Amino acid sequence: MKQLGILEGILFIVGDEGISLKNIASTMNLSETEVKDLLNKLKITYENQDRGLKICYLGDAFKLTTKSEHKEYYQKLVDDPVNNGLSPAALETLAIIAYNGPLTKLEIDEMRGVNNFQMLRRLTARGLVCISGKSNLPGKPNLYRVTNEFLDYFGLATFEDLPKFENIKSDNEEIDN
Amino acid sequence: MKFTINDFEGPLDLLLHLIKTNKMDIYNINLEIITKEYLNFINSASDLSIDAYSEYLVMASELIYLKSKMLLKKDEDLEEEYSIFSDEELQRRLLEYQKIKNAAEDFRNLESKRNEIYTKPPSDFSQYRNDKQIINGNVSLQDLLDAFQNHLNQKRLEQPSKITVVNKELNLKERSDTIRNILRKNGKLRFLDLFDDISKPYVIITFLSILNMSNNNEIVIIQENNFSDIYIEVSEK
Repeated sequence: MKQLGILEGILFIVGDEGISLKNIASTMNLSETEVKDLLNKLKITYENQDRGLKICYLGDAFKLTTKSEHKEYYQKLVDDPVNNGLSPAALETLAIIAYNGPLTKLEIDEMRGVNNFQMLRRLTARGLVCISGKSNLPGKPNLYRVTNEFLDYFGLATFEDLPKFENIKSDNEEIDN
Repeated sequence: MKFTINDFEGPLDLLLHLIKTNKMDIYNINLEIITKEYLNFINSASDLSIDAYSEYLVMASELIYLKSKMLLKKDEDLEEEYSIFSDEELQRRLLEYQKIKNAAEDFRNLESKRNEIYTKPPSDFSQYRNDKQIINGNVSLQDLLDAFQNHLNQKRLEQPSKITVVNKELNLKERSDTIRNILRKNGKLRFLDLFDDISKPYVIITFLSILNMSNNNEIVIIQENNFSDIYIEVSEK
């Protein structure tokens, strides 16, 4: 089917940026229901063992990825096979922001018991965290939240997919910039 | 297993570790033992930056404060008012921090799972993009001329309008006479040709003249089709 081919091509082109249902629909001149249908069909063809790709819904967008069962082959291609990922400190900071954000640097500092100035800069530079506005607290400090890239980094589709965690506090009123 | 201070993410992390190794409960911390061990530990840490070290020292001073508070006879009211750091507060922070540590562990698992699949960056189309206008075959010479004409018109409109310092007096009679002269010479006249000067007074006077002459049955106004040019002719009568 021609449309399946077009959809596959679109997903290939957008790469890790991914694409929304709406965007596919307008690109292909189809309704969102039709696109959903196509995505499902393509997904099924990818389930076949002789295919190397699959469709993932990550960070609020559809993306083409390789299959996890083939990882050992791809890892051989990577120059630096030792991928330790983020540091424990970075993970802690991200966890705090993900569950309690948006919140200020000071609030993060208090929860971790250490200063997070450099950490926030690094995470912002990596695109995992962004400034979402200003707090109403004195001095109007920046409020930080996690991004869609954060979701993708941890293989999550939406914020509802975060591992369950008791909410500690989120009493910040956000002011739009 | 021997730990060094670099194995910990901060004072709360170290405290949690000490509580665990002493098999204590966060809700029931033996401050005496913990404070002693904590101080021993940070005293042995020599390779820490002053910034990191100060963070551990803040916690140390808070622990000592809590310990001293315990030893002294309590004056409840005064304590509540002045204590910025209570054992409940310490408990709360430790619990909170432990939750975060657990969550960070969850994220570590998610991270390694996500690392099992690969994506590629979006395709770069810039190499195919061309600065030259792509002519796809549907464009005729006329389109090109029209486009050029449009461009010229636009350029003309972009120029500041001419400012005449001399105020030309315009009146209806004079303009009507001019139009009559042109009509007498040519018989038929394109409506738009009368607006060769687009200054406001000129346009208004010209328009009024036409309306007035039409009203007097001097001229007739003709349009063959919708949107085609409008012509003015001398009336038969």
